[in-house]
This record gives sequence, structure tokens and C-alpha cells, in this order.
Amino acid sequence: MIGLPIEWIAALIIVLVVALAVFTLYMVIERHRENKRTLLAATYLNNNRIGWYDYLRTDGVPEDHLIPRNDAEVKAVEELFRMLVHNVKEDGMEERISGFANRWMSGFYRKKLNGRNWGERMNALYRIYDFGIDSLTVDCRDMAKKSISEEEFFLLLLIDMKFYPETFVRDNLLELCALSANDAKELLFRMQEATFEETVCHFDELELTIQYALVDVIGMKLDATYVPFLETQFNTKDSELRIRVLRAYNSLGIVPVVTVYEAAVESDVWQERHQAAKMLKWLPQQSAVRYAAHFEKDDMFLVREEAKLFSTASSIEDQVSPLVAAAAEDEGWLLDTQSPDGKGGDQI
Amino acid sequence: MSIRKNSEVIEGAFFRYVFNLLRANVLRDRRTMSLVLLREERGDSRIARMLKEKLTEMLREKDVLFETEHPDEIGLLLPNSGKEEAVGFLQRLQKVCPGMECGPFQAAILEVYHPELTSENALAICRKAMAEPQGQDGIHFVHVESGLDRPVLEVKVSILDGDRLFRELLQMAVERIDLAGVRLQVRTFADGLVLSQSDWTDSWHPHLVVMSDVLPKRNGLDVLHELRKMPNQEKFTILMMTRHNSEEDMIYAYESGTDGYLLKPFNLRLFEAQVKRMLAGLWS
Repeated sequence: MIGLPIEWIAALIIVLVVALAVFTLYMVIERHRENKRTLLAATYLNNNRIGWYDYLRTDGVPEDHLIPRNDAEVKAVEELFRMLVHNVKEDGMEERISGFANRWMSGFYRKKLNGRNWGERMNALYRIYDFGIDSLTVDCRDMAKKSISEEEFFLLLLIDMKFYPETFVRDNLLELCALSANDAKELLFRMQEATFEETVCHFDELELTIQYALVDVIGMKLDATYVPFLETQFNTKDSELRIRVLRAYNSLGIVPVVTVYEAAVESDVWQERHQAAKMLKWLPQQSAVRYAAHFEKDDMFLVREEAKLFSTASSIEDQVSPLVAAAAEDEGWLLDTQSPDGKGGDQI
Repeated sequence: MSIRKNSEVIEGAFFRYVFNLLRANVLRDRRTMSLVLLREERGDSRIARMLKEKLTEMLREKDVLFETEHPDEIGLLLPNSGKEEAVGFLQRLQKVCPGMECGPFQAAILEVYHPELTSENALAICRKAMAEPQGQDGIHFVHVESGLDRPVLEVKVSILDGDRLFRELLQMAVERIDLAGVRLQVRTFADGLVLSQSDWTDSWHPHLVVMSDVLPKRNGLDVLHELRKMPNQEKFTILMMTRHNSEEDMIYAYESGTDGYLLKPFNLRLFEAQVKRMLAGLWS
């Protein structure tokens, strides 16, 4: 048994009790300060609600009493702006929020950007983006050079894209590869049309994960102007990209040209055949019936299921059976459906 | 519109009784009634009789034909009709009644919407307006005013949203809407459950409900179903706010009884215009 002098144990207990008392006192003081800040913010909003309403809805200048004088009041204005940005869309309101935030709140957010608290830095980045505080873009670019988290990196890209759409692709094309698939999709989805088109032009320079995300986003945006681009990308040897191209066609509700569709039908990759089977509903009925018969003999059950689902849904079971028999007799029927020039989805 | 074959012509105390009854309906349903008084200027009883016969054939079932103590006068009560509808009726009358161009007729049109306007006062106002003979063939009509404003309508407005600041913003926007004849009582609720547990919805007042589809404890669609199951649910005009740009959700909300839909973020001026339109439609 270890023998410790009783004085040592007593001293340890006293030290721990003192530490606990100090910690408790710190917590009480912090709580009190937090309550005071909350009260200040609530009082500020309560006193100025009509002033804010008038300022934001009319093209005037903010009255002096609207200008936040301390951090609590800045937080109150932040809460008000956050609510407006997410709920209200009115002519001129975005510009007024941006103007006010640039003039009176940028100092507060600059301090937070340079702080050591990750949560506060993230909050500052969100607000810079939401409120359009373009006076802090230089600080944001400086921040991007430091060691930052994935989340901060994503927000910094969003900010750069919002304030410098013309140079975004040139400056950040290689940076995009550091994004996760989901972040890449979100960023691409939020892009302005011109920036997105520019990114599409640099498709070959993108990492595979970003290429996948870009093709997915084309499907999500339901923009049929990119169909020729999809057609080109289907020539790739990367099966994953081909699957995503076919999925984008499915999202768009457009049947690819016959060469692409036939390649998918005859593919060794079952996911490609599966996507082709999903397109049956977009095909002219006679072609669809013939392809459905082909898919019903597929090795993969998901492809067969998709074909059966189509046959059931379109109530053409009665028509399929005789055609299946006819198709079985004619092994070269798939090639017969191809148009002479190999173009035009409507010729399937 | 159903037209009865031959209308009864009422008079005297029975006319006053019917007038009071229809006036009560006007106030309850907020549907304006028009009183039309016609007078044949030359006292030609043949034309006056022909007019009366034509009127008995033309009137809708809910319209009332009446006679006064003056033999050259005949009157009409047109429920659910403003002065524009009354003018249209007189123009149709002139077209279908070939004898009308023979004699000069005067007509006074008075909209009835105030509880203190009696039948005697209404007739007196019309007669005063028709004091000067026109002396020309056909019907010459004048619009007359009773001098009584439309009674002020108390309208309740409930705003339901989880965000306190947004509730207050909408409250300020609604409170600043200025519509003649409408007084708004606005209350805000953080949740559908609080509204359900309050007695705020129990009164007869027309009630505009502006609510988000997503609320903390009882969501907007549940509140919508609850309000539409109430026995006097017609009093509610419901405007839903949502972030989901889904046609399916919108179809479901409309089928469940919402009257309007706003997709967040929305323009406050659009919101105000919708509220104004809904409030303006309370009187017709």
C-alpha cells in the first residue's frame, strides 16, 4: 500500500476545491455576460424594428441608432439579416444589406476570420457569403493560403465564386479537385450559368471526381442544352463516367442518339444496360417493345426487372410476347434499328 | 342563374319585412344588395303595366319586386348585386321590352350595405335623386349614395412561423396595409399547437391565416386540416409559406384547402398584394 502523508491529500483536495470554485465562478460570470449580450441584442432589435423595416423597404440611408455599437448589437443585426436573406427577396434589399454589412459589420467579421475559434471563422464565412460583404474578399483569399479545414475551403470557394465569377474558373480550376463529391456538386449547382459553361469547357482538365459531379449536375439542372456535350463524353473509356452520362440523360428525360443508346444496350457493364432499360419509357413504343424483349433476357436481374416494370406499366404485355418471338428469330434486329447516318435519337 | 316564371309583387309592411331580412343577409354574407326604383314620368298606366309584367318574367328567384304607395313607381331588390349589376339589368330590360322606348323612365340605383339604412330612407333617397323629370324616352338611371359608409369589418390575422423575427416582419407588413372598411387584428404564433389551443379562432370574424408549412410542434398542413374541419371553416382564408418548390406539395396543399402559396424567399410586395386581394374579396 502506498503511504501518502495526510497533508498532501488535504492540499490536493484544497487545490481541487479552489479550481472547482474558480471554474464555477468563471461559468457564472460567462453566463451572466451571455445573458447580458442576449438582453442587449433583444433590446436593440425591439427598439429598432420599425427603423430597420423602414430602412430595408425604402431607398433611404440608415439612421444613426441603427448602427451597431457593440458585438451584441452586431449579432442582433446579423440575426435580422440572416432572417431576411433566407425569407425575403425584394428589389434593392440585397444591396442595402450588403451596403450596411460592408460599412458597419466588416470589422467584426474580419476579427472573427483571424480568430482561432473554428466555429466563429465558419460563421463569419457564411455571413460574408450571405450578406455579400465583398470588402472582405482579400481577407478571404489570404485565409485560403493558410492551413484551413475542408469546410472553410469550400466556403472560401463559394465566396470567390460569388464575388469573382469572371476569374473563378481560371483561378480555382485545380483547387476544385480537393472538394468532396457532394461539395463539388453543390458548388457546381450554385454556379452562375456563364461560370458553369466555362467549367464545362475545361472538362478535360478536371479531376475524375469533379467530372462525375459535373455530369450529375447537368442532370440535376435539367438543362437540355448540354446534350451534345453528354454525347461526346459517352465516348470515354471510363465506365463510371458513361453510367453518369446515361443517368443524366434519364434525368433530362431525353433519349440519346441511336449510337449511344445501342452502345449502352450492348455494353458489358450492367449499370449501363440498366440505365438504358430505364430509358425505355422515353422511346417510341415499337422500339421500346423490341428493346424490352432484349432486356428481359439480360443476365442482371435489375435490368430484367426494369424491362418488366416498363412492360407492365405501359400495359403492352400482350404485344410484347409475339414480338419477343419474332425478335428471337431475327438476331440482327438491333442493328436494323440504326439510322443510316447513325444519328438522331428519334430514329431508334 | 335561375329565373322564375312570374314574380310575386310585394308591398307595404311585407316589403319592409323582406327588406330588413335581406339587409341582415347582406351584413352577414358581406354581399352587397342593390335597390332599384323605377318611375314612369308621364303616368301612362299601359306602359307601367307592361314594364311590371316584363319584370316579373325577367327576375331571378332571389330578386324581389315591390310596389310603393305611388302607382307610377315600381322597385326591385337585387341581392348579391352591386350597382354595376343593377345597371346591366336595366340595360337588358330596355333591350327586351319593346315598349320601353315609348315612354321616359327614371331609375335610381342605391347600394344597400349599412345596418342603419331603412327601407323608408332608401326610397326617400331614390325619390330625391329622381326629382327632376328627364322628358326623354328610355330609361335614365342615376346612382345614389346613402351617405353611410360601408360598416368597418373586423378581420383577424394569424401569422404562424418558427422564426420570431420573420413573424414580426410579416406582422409589420400586414399592419401597414390600409384598406377602407377593414380593421385588422393581428396576432403571431410560433407554432400550430399554440394557435389550436387558443380561443383565437373561435369567433365569427373573417380570419386570414398566414403560416409556414414547417412548424415546431404542429406543422402547417396539420393546422390547415384542423381549420378546414371546423364547422364555420369558410371564414378562413389560408396562405401557406414554404421552402419546398415541389408541385406535388403544392397540389396537396391546394387540395387540402389552402387559398394561396408563397415560396420562400418571397417578395414582401407580392405578399402584401396577395393579402390585399384576399381582404378586398371579403366584400362583394
